[in-house]
Amino acid sequence: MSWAAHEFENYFIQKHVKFKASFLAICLGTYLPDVTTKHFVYEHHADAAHFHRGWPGVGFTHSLIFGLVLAILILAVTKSRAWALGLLIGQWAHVATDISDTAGVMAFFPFSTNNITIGMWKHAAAEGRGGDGAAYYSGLGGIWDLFWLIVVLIFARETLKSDYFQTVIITSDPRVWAFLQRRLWLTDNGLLVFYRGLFFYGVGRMVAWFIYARFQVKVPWQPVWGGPVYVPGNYLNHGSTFTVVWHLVAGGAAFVAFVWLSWVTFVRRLWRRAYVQPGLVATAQVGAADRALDGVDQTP
Amino acid sequence: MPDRASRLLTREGPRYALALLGYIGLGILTKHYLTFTWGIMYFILVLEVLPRTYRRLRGSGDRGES
Repeated sequence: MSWAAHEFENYFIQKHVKFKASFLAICLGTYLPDVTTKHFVYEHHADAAHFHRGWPGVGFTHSLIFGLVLAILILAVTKSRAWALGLLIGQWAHVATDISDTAGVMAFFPFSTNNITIGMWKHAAAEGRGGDGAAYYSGLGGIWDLFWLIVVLIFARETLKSDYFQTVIITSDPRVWAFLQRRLWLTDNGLLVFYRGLFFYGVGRMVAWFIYARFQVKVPWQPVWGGPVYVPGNYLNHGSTFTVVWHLVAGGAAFVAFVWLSWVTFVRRLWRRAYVQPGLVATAQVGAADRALDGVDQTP
Repeated sequence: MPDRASRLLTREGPRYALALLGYIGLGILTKHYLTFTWGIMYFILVLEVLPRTYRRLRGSGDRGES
Protein backbone atom coordinates (compact mmCIF):
# COMPACT_ATOMS: atom_id res chain seq x y z
CA MET A 1 0.00 0.00 0.00
CA SER A 2 1.09 3.56 -0.60
CA TRP A 3 0.64 6.36 1.88
CA ALA A 4 0.86 9.45 -0.34
CA ALA A 5 1.54 8.17 -3.88
CA HIS A 6 -2.21 7.54 -4.33
CA GLU A 7 -2.83 11.27 -3.77
CA PHE A 8 -0.14 12.38 -6.25
CA GLU A 9 -1.07 9.83 -8.94
CA ASN A 10 -4.54 11.39 -9.23
CA TYR A 11 -3.12 14.66 -10.60
CA PHE A 12 -0.78 12.91 -13.01
CA ILE A 13 -3.58 10.68 -14.32
CA GLN A 14 -5.93 13.65 -14.60
CA LYS A 15 -3.43 15.52 -16.73
CA HIS A 16 -3.43 12.67 -19.23
CA VAL A 17 -7.15 11.88 -19.35
CA LYS A 18 -8.26 15.56 -19.23
CA PHE A 19 -12.01 15.76 -20.00
CA LYS A 20 -12.50 12.02 -20.41
CA ALA A 21 -12.67 11.28 -16.68
CA SER A 22 -13.88 13.00 -13.54
CA PHE A 23 -11.10 13.94 -11.11
CA LEU A 24 -13.33 13.14 -8.12
CA ALA A 25 -14.09 9.71 -9.59
CA ILE A 26 -10.37 9.04 -10.06
CA CYS A 27 -9.80 9.98 -6.40
CA LEU A 28 -12.67 7.78 -5.25
CA GLY A 29 -11.25 4.91 -7.32
CA THR A 30 -7.77 5.25 -5.84
CA TYR A 31 -9.04 5.49 -2.23
CA LEU A 32 -11.79 2.88 -2.39
CA PRO A 33 -9.68 -0.30 -1.95
CA ASP A 34 -8.13 0.95 1.31
CA VAL A 35 -10.79 3.24 2.72
CA THR A 36 -13.23 0.35 2.93
CA THR A 37 -10.76 -2.13 4.42
CA LYS A 38 -7.86 -0.55 6.34
CA HIS A 39 -9.73 -0.18 9.64
CA PHE A 40 -10.48 -3.91 9.69
CA VAL A 41 -7.01 -4.82 8.41
CA TYR A 42 -5.35 -3.19 11.44
CA GLU A 43 -7.51 -5.33 13.72
CA HIS A 44 -6.13 -8.51 12.12
CA HIS A 45 -2.64 -8.38 13.63
CA ALA A 46 -1.90 -12.07 13.13
CA ASP A 47 -2.78 -12.30 9.43
CA ALA A 48 -3.11 -8.66 8.36
CA ALA A 49 -1.38 -9.15 5.00
CA HIS A 50 -3.51 -12.18 4.08
CA PHE A 51 -6.72 -10.49 5.21
CA HIS A 52 -5.86 -7.29 3.31
CA ARG A 53 -4.66 -8.82 0.04
CA GLY A 54 -5.61 -12.50 0.06
CA TRP A 55 -8.62 -14.76 -0.19
CA PRO A 56 -10.57 -15.41 1.97
CA GLY A 57 -10.39 -11.80 3.16
CA VAL A 58 -10.85 -8.38 1.61
CA GLY A 59 -8.12 -8.85 -1.02
CA PHE A 60 -10.74 -8.75 -3.79
CA THR A 61 -10.94 -4.96 -3.28
CA HIS A 62 -7.44 -4.83 -4.78
CA SER A 63 -8.40 -6.79 -7.91
CA LEU A 64 -9.04 -5.43 -11.41
CA ILE A 65 -12.50 -6.94 -11.50
CA PHE A 66 -13.56 -4.97 -8.41
CA GLY A 67 -12.92 -1.68 -10.23
CA LEU A 68 -14.56 -3.01 -13.38
CA VAL A 69 -17.76 -4.11 -11.61
CA LEU A 70 -18.01 -0.78 -9.74
CA ALA A 71 -17.42 1.18 -12.94
CA ILE A 72 -20.13 -0.79 -14.75
CA LEU A 73 -22.54 -0.15 -11.86
CA ILE A 74 -21.71 3.57 -11.93
CA LEU A 75 -22.23 3.61 -15.71
CA ALA A 76 -25.59 1.84 -15.38
CA VAL A 77 -26.88 4.04 -12.54
CA THR A 78 -25.47 7.51 -13.30
CA LYS A 79 -25.01 7.12 -17.08
CA SER A 80 -21.87 9.21 -16.69
CA ARG A 81 -18.93 8.11 -18.80
CA ALA A 82 -16.57 10.45 -16.93
CA TRP A 83 -17.44 8.89 -13.57
CA ALA A 84 -17.31 5.29 -14.79
CA LEU A 85 -13.99 5.80 -16.54
CA GLY A 86 -12.54 7.84 -13.66
CA LEU A 87 -13.41 5.23 -11.07
CA LEU A 88 -12.02 2.44 -13.24
CA ILE A 89 -8.73 4.26 -13.91
CA GLY A 90 -8.34 5.27 -10.26
CA GLN A 91 -8.97 1.79 -8.87
CA TRP A 92 -6.70 0.15 -11.46
CA ALA A 93 -3.96 2.68 -10.63
CA HIS A 94 -4.26 1.66 -6.98
CA VAL A 95 -3.96 -2.01 -7.94
CA ALA A 96 -0.91 -1.26 -10.10
CA THR A 97 0.81 0.67 -7.29
CA ASP A 98 0.15 -1.98 -4.64
CA ILE A 99 1.97 -4.57 -6.74
CA SER A 100 5.10 -2.94 -5.32
CA ASP A 101 4.83 -4.24 -1.74
CA THR A 102 5.67 -7.75 -0.58
CA ALA A 103 2.04 -8.89 -0.20
CA GLY A 104 1.11 -7.77 -3.72
CA VAL A 105 -2.41 -7.92 -5.16
CA MET A 106 -4.74 -10.61 -6.53
CA ALA A 107 -5.06 -8.65 -9.77
CA PHE A 108 -6.93 -11.38 -11.65
CA PHE A 109 -9.26 -12.49 -8.85
CA PRO A 110 -11.47 -14.63 -9.01
CA PHE A 111 -9.73 -16.33 -11.96
CA SER A 112 -6.50 -16.56 -9.96
CA THR A 113 -5.94 -16.06 -6.22
CA ASN A 114 -2.17 -15.77 -6.69
CA ASN A 115 -0.69 -12.39 -5.92
CA ILE A 116 1.41 -10.27 -8.27
CA THR A 117 4.26 -8.60 -6.41
CA ILE A 118 7.65 -7.07 -7.11
CA GLY A 119 8.47 -6.94 -3.37
CA MET A 120 9.87 -3.41 -3.41
CA TRP A 121 8.89 -2.65 0.21
CA LYS A 122 7.35 -4.60 3.09
CA HIS A 123 3.62 -4.85 3.64
CA ALA A 124 3.56 -3.92 7.34
CA ALA A 125 -0.13 -3.65 8.30
CA ALA A 126 0.48 -6.29 10.99
CA GLU A 127 2.45 -3.62 12.89
CA GLY A 128 -0.70 -1.51 13.40
CA ARG A 129 -1.29 1.97 11.93
CA GLY A 130 1.73 3.67 13.54
CA GLY A 131 4.07 0.77 12.86
CA ASP A 132 2.77 0.50 9.29
CA GLY A 133 3.47 4.18 8.60
CA ALA A 134 6.89 4.00 10.24
CA ALA A 135 7.85 0.89 8.22
CA TYR A 136 6.58 2.40 4.97
CA TYR A 137 8.69 5.53 5.45
CA SER A 138 11.71 3.43 6.46
CA GLY A 139 11.86 1.44 3.22
CA LEU A 140 11.52 2.29 -0.46
CA GLY A 141 7.86 3.20 0.06
CA GLY A 142 8.83 6.69 1.17
CA ILE A 143 11.10 7.03 -1.88
CA TRP A 144 8.19 5.91 -4.08
CA ASP A 145 6.02 8.72 -2.63
CA LEU A 146 8.83 11.21 -3.21
CA PHE A 147 9.17 9.96 -6.80
CA TRP A 148 5.47 10.62 -7.47
CA LEU A 149 5.66 14.04 -5.84
CA ILE A 150 8.53 14.97 -8.19
CA VAL A 151 6.67 13.50 -11.19
CA VAL A 152 3.64 15.67 -10.44
CA LEU A 153 5.75 18.79 -9.84
CA ILE A 154 7.70 18.32 -13.08
CA PHE A 155 5.17 16.81 -15.48
CA ALA A 156 1.75 17.73 -14.10
CA ARG A 157 2.36 21.04 -12.33
CA GLU A 158 -0.29 22.82 -14.40
CA THR A 159 -3.01 20.60 -12.93
CA LEU A 160 -2.61 22.53 -9.67
CA LYS A 161 -3.24 25.90 -11.30
CA SER A 162 -6.48 27.78 -10.89
CA ASP A 163 -7.03 28.03 -14.67
CA TYR A 164 -6.71 24.28 -15.11
CA PHE A 165 -9.18 23.68 -12.30
CA GLN A 166 -11.73 26.01 -13.87
CA THR A 167 -11.33 24.92 -17.48
CA VAL A 168 -10.71 21.19 -17.18
CA ILE A 169 -11.57 19.79 -13.75
CA ILE A 170 -14.90 21.56 -13.24
CA THR A 171 -15.86 21.40 -16.91
CA SER A 172 -15.45 17.64 -17.00
CA ASP A 173 -17.67 17.14 -13.94
CA PRO A 174 -19.79 20.28 -13.39
CA ARG A 175 -22.74 18.65 -11.60
CA VAL A 176 -20.77 17.07 -8.76
CA TRP A 177 -18.55 20.12 -8.19
CA ALA A 178 -21.68 22.31 -8.04
CA PHE A 179 -23.23 19.86 -5.57
CA LEU A 180 -20.07 19.95 -3.39
CA GLN A 181 -20.01 23.74 -3.49
CA ARG A 182 -23.62 23.93 -2.31
CA ARG A 183 -23.31 21.27 0.38
CA LEU A 184 -20.03 22.52 1.83
CA TRP A 185 -20.96 26.23 1.49
CA LEU A 186 -17.74 26.93 -0.38
CA THR A 187 -16.83 29.89 -2.54
CA ASP A 188 -15.03 29.33 -5.86
CA ASN A 189 -11.74 29.73 -4.01
CA GLY A 190 -12.89 27.22 -1.38
CA LEU A 191 -13.58 24.70 -4.11
CA LEU A 192 -10.07 25.26 -5.48
CA VAL A 193 -8.64 24.72 -1.98
CA PHE A 194 -10.62 21.48 -1.74
CA TYR A 195 -9.14 20.33 -5.06
CA ARG A 196 -5.58 21.32 -4.17
CA GLY A 197 -6.05 20.06 -0.60
CA LEU A 198 -5.69 16.45 -1.76
CA PHE A 199 -2.20 17.24 -3.05
CA PHE A 200 -1.13 19.20 0.03
CA TYR A 201 -2.61 16.54 2.27
CA GLY A 202 -0.35 14.02 0.48
CA VAL A 203 2.76 16.20 0.94
CA GLY A 204 1.94 16.87 4.60
CA ARG A 205 1.28 13.22 5.26
CA MET A 206 4.55 12.17 3.64
CA VAL A 207 6.68 14.63 5.63
CA ALA A 208 4.88 14.10 8.97
CA TRP A 209 5.09 10.29 8.83
CA PHE A 210 8.74 10.43 7.79
CA ILE A 211 9.50 12.63 10.81
CA TYR A 212 7.46 10.28 13.01
CA ALA A 213 9.51 7.29 11.82
CA ARG A 214 12.87 9.02 12.25
CA PHE A 215 12.44 11.07 15.43
CA GLN A 216 9.54 9.61 17.39
CA VAL A 217 9.62 5.82 17.10
CA LYS A 218 13.21 5.98 15.78
CA VAL A 219 13.07 2.88 13.57
CA PRO A 220 16.08 2.32 11.28
CA TRP A 221 15.93 3.83 7.79
CA GLN A 222 16.57 0.96 5.35
CA PRO A 223 15.71 2.11 1.81
CA VAL A 224 16.77 -1.15 0.16
CA TRP A 225 14.77 -3.47 -2.10
CA GLY A 226 12.34 -5.44 0.12
CA GLY A 227 13.10 -3.27 3.16
CA PRO A 228 12.82 -2.39 5.91
CA VAL A 229 14.44 -5.62 7.08
CA TYR A 230 13.18 -5.35 10.67
CA VAL A 231 9.61 -6.16 9.43
CA PRO A 232 8.66 -9.78 8.50
CA GLY A 233 8.23 -10.52 4.78
CA ASN A 234 4.47 -11.12 4.53
CA TYR A 235 4.71 -12.91 1.18
CA LEU A 236 1.40 -14.54 0.29
CA ASN A 237 2.15 -16.81 -2.69
CA HIS A 238 2.77 -20.48 -2.09
CA GLY A 239 4.13 -23.11 -4.47
CA SER A 240 6.90 -22.95 -7.05
CA THR A 241 7.55 -19.85 -9.15
CA PHE A 242 6.45 -21.75 -12.28
CA THR A 243 3.08 -22.68 -10.70
CA VAL A 244 2.47 -19.10 -9.55
CA VAL A 245 3.38 -17.65 -12.97
CA TRP A 246 1.25 -20.24 -14.79
CA HIS A 247 -1.79 -19.51 -12.57
CA LEU A 248 -1.30 -15.77 -13.12
CA VAL A 249 -1.04 -16.13 -16.90
CA ALA A 250 -4.16 -18.33 -17.01
CA GLY A 251 -5.98 -15.91 -14.65
CA GLY A 252 -4.94 -12.94 -16.79
CA ALA A 253 -6.20 -14.61 -19.97
CA ALA A 254 -9.52 -15.49 -18.29
CA PHE A 255 -9.86 -11.89 -17.07
CA VAL A 256 -9.25 -10.46 -20.55
CA ALA A 257 -11.85 -12.88 -21.96
CA PHE A 258 -14.30 -11.79 -19.25
CA VAL A 259 -13.77 -8.09 -20.06
CA TRP A 260 -14.30 -8.73 -23.79
CA LEU A 261 -17.42 -10.82 -23.16
CA SER A 262 -18.85 -8.16 -20.81
CA TRP A 263 -18.17 -5.44 -23.40
CA VAL A 264 -19.80 -7.35 -26.22
CA THR A 265 -22.86 -8.51 -24.27
CA PHE A 266 -23.95 -5.44 -22.27
CA VAL A 267 -21.25 -2.88 -21.36
CA ARG A 268 -21.08 -1.48 -24.92
CA ARG A 269 -24.82 -0.79 -24.79
CA LEU A 270 -24.48 0.94 -21.41
CA TRP A 271 -21.55 2.99 -22.74
CA ARG A 272 -23.51 4.14 -25.83
CA ARG A 273 -26.56 5.27 -23.87
CA ALA A 274 -24.37 7.11 -21.31
CA TYR A 275 -23.91 10.85 -21.71
CA VAL A 276 -20.73 12.77 -22.42
CA GLN A 277 -19.92 15.63 -20.04
CA PRO A 278 -20.98 19.07 -21.30
CA GLY A 279 -17.36 20.20 -21.17
CA LEU A 280 -16.31 17.47 -23.53
CA VAL A 281 -19.13 18.35 -25.95
CA ALA A 282 -18.12 22.02 -25.78
CA THR A 283 -14.51 21.16 -26.47
CA ALA A 284 -15.47 18.93 -29.37
CA GLN A 285 -17.61 21.75 -30.80
CA VAL A 286 -14.80 24.27 -30.39
CA GLY A 287 -12.45 21.79 -32.03
CA ALA A 288 -14.89 21.32 -34.91
CA ALA A 289 -15.27 25.09 -35.24
CA ASP A 290 -11.52 25.54 -35.24
CA ARG A 291 -11.12 22.86 -37.87
CA ALA A 292 -13.84 24.47 -39.96
CA LEU A 293 -12.13 27.84 -39.67
CA ASP A 294 -8.81 26.27 -40.59
CA GLY A 295 -10.48 24.80 -43.66
CA VAL A 296 -11.79 28.22 -44.68
CA ASP A 297 -8.40 29.83 -44.17
CA GLN A 298 -6.68 27.24 -46.32
CA THR A 299 -9.12 27.73 -49.20
CA PRO A 300 -7.40 29.87 -51.86
CA MET B 1 6.44 45.09 8.84
CA PRO B 2 2.80 44.02 9.44
CA ASP B 3 1.95 45.48 6.01
CA ARG B 4 4.72 43.44 4.46
CA ALA B 5 3.48 40.30 6.23
CA SER B 6 -0.11 40.84 5.10
CA ARG B 7 1.08 41.54 1.54
CA LEU B 8 2.99 38.26 1.63
CA LEU B 9 -0.04 36.41 2.94
CA THR B 10 -2.26 37.68 0.15
CA ARG B 11 -0.08 35.73 -2.29
CA GLU B 12 -1.05 32.13 -2.94
CA GLY B 13 2.34 30.43 -2.62
CA PRO B 14 3.28 31.61 0.89
CA ARG B 15 -0.26 31.00 2.15
CA TYR B 16 -0.22 27.38 0.98
CA ALA B 17 3.33 26.84 2.26
CA LEU B 18 2.38 28.18 5.71
CA ALA B 19 -0.76 26.04 5.79
CA LEU B 20 1.31 22.99 4.86
CA LEU B 21 3.85 23.70 7.60
CA GLY B 22 0.99 24.12 10.06
CA TYR B 23 -0.50 20.83 8.99
CA ILE B 24 2.78 18.99 9.43
CA GLY B 25 3.41 20.68 12.78
CA LEU B 26 -0.09 19.94 14.02
CA GLY B 27 0.26 16.29 13.03
CA ILE B 28 3.53 15.96 14.93
CA LEU B 29 2.42 17.95 18.00
CA THR B 30 -0.85 16.08 18.43
CA LYS B 31 0.80 12.76 17.44
CA HIS B 32 -2.38 12.17 15.44
CA TYR B 33 -1.04 12.47 11.88
CA LEU B 34 -4.32 13.78 10.58
CA THR B 35 -6.38 11.40 8.50
CA PHE B 36 -7.78 12.18 5.06
CA THR B 37 -11.04 13.85 6.14
CA TRP B 38 -9.35 15.93 8.86
CA GLY B 39 -6.57 16.84 6.44
CA ILE B 40 -8.94 18.22 3.80
CA MET B 41 -11.03 19.98 6.46
CA TYR B 42 -7.89 21.57 7.88
CA PHE B 43 -6.87 23.03 4.50
CA ILE B 44 -10.37 24.36 3.84
CA LEU B 45 -10.49 25.88 7.33
CA VAL B 46 -7.06 27.52 7.14
CA LEU B 47 -7.08 28.63 3.50
CA GLU B 48 -10.74 29.48 2.99
CA VAL B 49 -12.93 29.75 6.10
CA LEU B 50 -10.58 31.64 8.44
CA PRO B 51 -9.38 34.24 5.86
CA ARG B 52 -13.00 34.79 4.74
CA THR B 53 -14.17 35.25 8.34
CA TYR B 54 -11.25 37.57 9.05
CA ARG B 55 -12.02 39.69 5.98
CA ARG B 56 -15.70 39.85 6.91
CA LEU B 57 -14.97 40.87 10.51
CA ARG B 58 -12.41 43.45 9.42
CA GLY B 59 -14.85 44.76 6.82
CA SER B 60 -17.64 45.17 9.36
CA GLY B 61 -15.16 46.78 11.81
CA ASP B 62 -14.12 49.31 9.15
CA ARG B 63 -17.74 50.16 8.44
CA GLY B 64 -18.35 50.58 12.18
CA GLU B 65 -15.44 53.01 12.50
CA SER B 66 -16.59 55.14 9.60
